[in-house]
Amino acid sequence: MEGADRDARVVAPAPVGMPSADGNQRGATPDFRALFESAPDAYLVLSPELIIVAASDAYTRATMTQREAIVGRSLFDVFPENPHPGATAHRNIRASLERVRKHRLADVMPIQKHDLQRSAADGGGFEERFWLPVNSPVSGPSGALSYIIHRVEDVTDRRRIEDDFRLMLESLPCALVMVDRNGIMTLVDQETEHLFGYSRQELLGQPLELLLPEPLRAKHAAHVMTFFGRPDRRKMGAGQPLFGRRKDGSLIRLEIDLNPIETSEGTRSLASIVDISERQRAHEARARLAAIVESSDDAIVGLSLDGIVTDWNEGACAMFGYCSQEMIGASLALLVLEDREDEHPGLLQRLRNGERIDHFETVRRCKDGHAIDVSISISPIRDAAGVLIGASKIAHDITQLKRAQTALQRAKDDTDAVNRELESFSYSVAHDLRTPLRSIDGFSQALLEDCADKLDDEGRKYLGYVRESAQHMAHLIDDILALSRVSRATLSDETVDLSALARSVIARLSRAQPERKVSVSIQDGLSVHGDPRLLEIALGNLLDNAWKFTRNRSDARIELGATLQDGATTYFVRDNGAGFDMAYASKLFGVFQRLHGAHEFEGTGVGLATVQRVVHRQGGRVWAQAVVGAGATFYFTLRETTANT
Amino acid sequence: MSTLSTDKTILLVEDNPKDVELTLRAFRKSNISNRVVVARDGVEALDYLFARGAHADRPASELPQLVLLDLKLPKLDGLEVLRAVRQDERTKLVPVVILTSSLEEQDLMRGYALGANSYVRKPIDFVQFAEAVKQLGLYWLVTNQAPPPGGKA
Repeated sequence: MEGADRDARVVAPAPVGMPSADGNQRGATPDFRALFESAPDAYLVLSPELIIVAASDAYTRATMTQREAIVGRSLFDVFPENPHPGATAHRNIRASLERVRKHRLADVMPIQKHDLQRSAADGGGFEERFWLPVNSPVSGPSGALSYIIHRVEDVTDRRRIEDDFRLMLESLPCALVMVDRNGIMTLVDQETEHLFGYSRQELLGQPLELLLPEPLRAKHAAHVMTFFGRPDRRKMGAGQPLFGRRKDGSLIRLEIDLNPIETSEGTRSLASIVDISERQRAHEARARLAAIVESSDDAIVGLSLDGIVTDWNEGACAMFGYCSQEMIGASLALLVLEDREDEHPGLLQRLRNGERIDHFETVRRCKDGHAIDVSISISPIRDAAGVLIGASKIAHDITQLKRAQTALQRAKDDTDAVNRELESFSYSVAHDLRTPLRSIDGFSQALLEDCADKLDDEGRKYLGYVRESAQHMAHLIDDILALSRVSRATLSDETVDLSALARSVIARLSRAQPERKVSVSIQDGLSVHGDPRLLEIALGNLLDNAWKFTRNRSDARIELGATLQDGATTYFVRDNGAGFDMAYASKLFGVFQRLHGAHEFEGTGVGLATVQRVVHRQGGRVWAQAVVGAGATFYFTLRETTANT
Repeated sequence: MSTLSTDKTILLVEDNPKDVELTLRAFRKSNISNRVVVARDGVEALDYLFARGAHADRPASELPQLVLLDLKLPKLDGLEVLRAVRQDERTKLVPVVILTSSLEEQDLMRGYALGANSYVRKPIDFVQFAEAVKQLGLYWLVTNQAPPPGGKA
């Protein structure tokens, strides 16, 4: 096919030194045209005006053209530029050919991207191609340029493989740096840019020391010499921690593998660099955890799923008396007491079910045979895939705690017994002490009524005193019983409306003494948490007092409110009554302590002691401020509930 | 409303003779002149109510109009007496008023739980005590309609 078309189309003169192609001189002059066209490489012969004169078969194959379609046409017409922006093939080839024309020297071009136009039948557009072109001049007898040989090599496939390799390299999780014999970086990948914070331009051509911290830089040149003196695969740093220095000056922990590579330009060292800062931190964290485990007083034990000990810390040694050599590989059943043997399989089963066991209290046997109380927590251990592989068991020695608990329980039982006695004593007091009082009062009254004529005024007065004393003592007994009830009462915790409570107390007082004119001010919405009955007793006592001690005032005033003191809600009952001398304030809350004579204000001296006991039981504090003749203010706090904190 | 009738008996269960005397005095001063039978312990109280022991010759059908019951009693305490009274068909409807010194909450609760009709704490002040006894007498002997004798519920 080629032979048939050839003659018809060739219009340009035959290349110099080539005999005419139309000779049948086989055996005489070689058929140079045939030889040229069959040459294994892709050649194109151009006229000095860049018109295509001849093409080898390899060329037309490589460029997907037909010889007759291209010979006689301009090179740049035949192979138009891909309209893709940034395409430079035409410009570069033209420049190269220009150099050849000018200098008459062969011009080796770097790889050119010059895409081939596809015929409309093949779908149109361009096909990507990379070429390695060499342009060589051919001079005529006169020395003038007669042709230019344009040799190309299709390196598209090679280029694709290179691209793949580059992508592969770039996607490796380690930074790759190629260094020549002088320690100069000749190749770096994207990961290197990321890792050290430099751009490729900043790194290429620079010594590797740029990436090393100051103390290492000086020594490095010698290391490079050593490496190239005996190039083999090795880890850099010879086991010492290795650091790199980022552009911002920060240091990173590195692991560097060195590989000698033979390139056309000589031996290179390819360093693959991994940032192990994170791994190092994890390692240090593990080491720290291990140290904590070792230093714990608790026994921390690793277990396989069938109860075999895999880890045994110092705490376990100290607690159970077995050292780790004795226990690792042994069954933990060794620690189980005979009478608790049925307990162990159950725990193992729960462990195999992946259950957590929290603060399971039991008894374990030590090496020397003595039993200790322990609180055990067991947590499942899973591997990275989530598969249950064992358990960690933490045992805390609670022997002392148990002993303390037992002692505490005994003390509580004792106290309860005393309390029960106290209760029955109180009951007796209530019943038995009151009974004779009733007789004293009752028969005094009987005397006054039945024997009035036999008594003089003095006798009647004395009998009056007897009755008063009996009644006073009855009050004392009642108040003491109330105080003891406050101490013994089981507390409930409810929302209590102090304002409403105060209003009902004041209403009761007003009913008892309707003649009293008292201006009462009660702040609304004083809502607290506590035991409603105890709070009623406390507030009742405070308001009773305020009511009682204001009775000599025509402008009596009683106020209940709340303020914030030192961040705590503080309630107060204020009156403008008799007040008291602050010098005796410390006696105020003592049982039977009175700051007023019975001739001024009656009372038993138990009320404020009861108030204090209520407030203490409600987690609060009570105190007072007063001025003689100007009134008193009683303050109290209550335990703040969680809702308020 | 019936008038104050003296044929209605009051059973006073009280071990303290002075309290007995004060209670009787209080009845007198309130012009309550009904027959008052005094039982000095719990056993005696039940003997009277069930017409047995020292009271075996008494017709069992005649029940007191009112029982005033102290709690703290020798042999059988007041609450046990009350339980026995309420458990027996013959006496379960008899009005029983607990008259005691105790203001213990548990006594109140148990007293009512066992079926006491009232619970009155004895005041120390005799004037108040007399007033309380007077009101009790008037209410239970006059105002209140007692269940008919031998009546079936």
